[in-house]
Amino acid sequence: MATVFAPRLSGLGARVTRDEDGTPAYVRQAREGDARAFQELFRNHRRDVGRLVARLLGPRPDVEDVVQEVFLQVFRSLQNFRGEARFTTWLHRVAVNVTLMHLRAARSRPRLGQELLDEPAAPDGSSPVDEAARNQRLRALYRILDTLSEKKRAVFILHDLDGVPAGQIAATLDTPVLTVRTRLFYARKEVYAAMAGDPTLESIARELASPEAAAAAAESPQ
Amino acid sequence: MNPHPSIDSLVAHLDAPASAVGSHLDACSECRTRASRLAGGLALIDEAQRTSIPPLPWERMESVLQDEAARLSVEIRAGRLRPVRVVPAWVGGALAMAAGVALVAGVQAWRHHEAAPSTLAHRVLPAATPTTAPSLAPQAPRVDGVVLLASGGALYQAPSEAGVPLARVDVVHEGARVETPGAGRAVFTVGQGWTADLRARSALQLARLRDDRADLTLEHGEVALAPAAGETRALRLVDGPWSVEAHGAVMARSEATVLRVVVLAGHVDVRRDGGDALTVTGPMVVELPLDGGAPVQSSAGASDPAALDLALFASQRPLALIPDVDPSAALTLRDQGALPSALEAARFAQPGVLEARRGATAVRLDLASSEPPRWTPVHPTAVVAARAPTLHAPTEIPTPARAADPVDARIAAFEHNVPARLQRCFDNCREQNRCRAPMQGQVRFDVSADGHAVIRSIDASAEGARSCLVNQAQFLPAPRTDSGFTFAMPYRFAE
Repeated sequence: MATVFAPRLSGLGARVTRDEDGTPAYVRQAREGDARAFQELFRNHRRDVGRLVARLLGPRPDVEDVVQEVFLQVFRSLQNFRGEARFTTWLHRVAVNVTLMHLRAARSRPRLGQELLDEPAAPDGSSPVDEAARNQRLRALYRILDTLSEKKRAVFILHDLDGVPAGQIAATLDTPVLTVRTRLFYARKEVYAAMAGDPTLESIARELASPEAAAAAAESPQ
Repeated sequence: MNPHPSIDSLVAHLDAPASAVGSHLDACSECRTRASRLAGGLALIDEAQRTSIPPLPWERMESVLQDEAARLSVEIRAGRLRPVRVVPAWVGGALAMAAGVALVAGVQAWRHHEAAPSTLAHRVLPAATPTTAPSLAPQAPRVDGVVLLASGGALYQAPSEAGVPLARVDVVHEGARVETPGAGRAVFTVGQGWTADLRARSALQLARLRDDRADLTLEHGEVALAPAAGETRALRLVDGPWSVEAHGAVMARSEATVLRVVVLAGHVDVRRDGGDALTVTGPMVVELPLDGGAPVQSSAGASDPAALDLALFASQRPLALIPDVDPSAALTLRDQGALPSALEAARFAQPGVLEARRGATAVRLDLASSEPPRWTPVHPTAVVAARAPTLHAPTEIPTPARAADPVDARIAAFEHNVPARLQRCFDNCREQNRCRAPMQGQVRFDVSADGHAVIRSIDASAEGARSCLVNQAQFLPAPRTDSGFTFAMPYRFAE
């Protein structure tokens, strides 16, 4: 084992000590039973995992539960990490699998009405009305994405919403790149077809468009 | 009017206006509506991309996770949770290939014991670049070896350190030395796709283990080297003035005055002091005088028992224990090395007599015979399936009852063999967290009369392995029967 950087700091500017194979040292330390290393692992990856889970789930109130579940699973299975993939790839794979399992389970449970779900926090400067409209739009999108199969949904979200390259998605999902591209192709096809056939999107389209374009759309002959 | 444009055409048009689609939209209100909806949807995607992720209550989450981390730390320190040992995926194939080539070539050699030795095929090649030449080129990445088998007190010695006992799945590094005492043996991977089998009373220096090439120095004793399937890179073995670049399975033995090289398959390029090369094509035995004299074809030939020593098999106890080897690797007999993966079960029926099963065929190798030993078919019921059910860590050989009916025997052998073939599905499922803990339950199979196995049901904890199991099931070597049969495979993994 060779260390690249010694100080073990948390917070801004802290660098991660890595083992010779590039795996963060806290992974090995956690595998050896160092409780602080678990904490370091969580702090270093929570934002990435949180973002990934939130993207995959969409605007739902259970993001926090799933993120926590991901880290619980990661802690418990760290002993199974064989170093065949980069640690982050393995971590993302666990996150995707836990999230998909959660979605699968959620589909088989009775669903609450959308109005009962917590609203995501409004960003600074946006009015509650704007925020409600934004959430409505996002839900419309995720309603369409919910119609996709789980695999196509994951690929579409990771690639088209989160900007993850196909090669990285392939590693995360443990799938050939060609399969990822094929799923993406069909996912887009289904999503676009659903968009084109969804009457509710007309109002969203007008809302999103500039006032001039909206006015022109309103005046255009049907 | 032109036919309505497809969704793809509309998306492309919204991205970069196309005149044909544009003129169609001018005339078609239906498509204008579609395009409008689509534009709204695409804008949604843009908006979703820009949407920031809502903040999460990290502190609250951390306190929950800390409790779990503390609990796991205690478990790990108490030794109740252990890391998985790292063995590259290709190791199993390499091991199987190595053992397969060695055994098959060995048996072939025995069969052709009386055959006249073929002539030495050679040609002169350009001189090789000396390995010690200084180079400004970046070094290829190191590829550590993994020990597949270590027995009889094999030692590992890192540079300027004392020797330590070698154990299975240890990792060996460039620059280290492996030594085996009188009853010792060490089998380990070398470079990206080779396996070295260091026999008793031998020592080997791992001079270079790099991605582009591996060099070994045989100090004394005997080593068998075998490439994995499809491996095209050569392996270089050095002894005294000689450098042997192997392009196929070889065995090399350093004796008092010569380095004896048994070319089992492929060919070797032999060089003296980095000079011109002599290519020797197998099967062939060549002796390289350590005083630098001219290489000679051995009078023994590749079929010489001294060149390929199967006597090890003959001297063992009647029952061979099976260690808990990586299930993807070949069947391994303790202290004996690997057998070809095609052999699904093996045991010593009596001292010097090895019985094995390959598919529905049972074969026997009588090593104590005065005749050159060769595999001969025997009645299937005479073979006891002895492959470890690898889903449960084996400590003893299970000894299934012999079935009087050959069909029952085939079914029993098949059922016994299934866990090892499906092990990888469970391993992957656990590693990727697709299976639920505790992993315990059954997978039930239906096998048709013509020998096709399909999954009937999978318990919930292994549901995540379904696609792998379904896929693998179609390749299970199920026996043909009159009316088909069903069976259940239990699985259980300790947490």
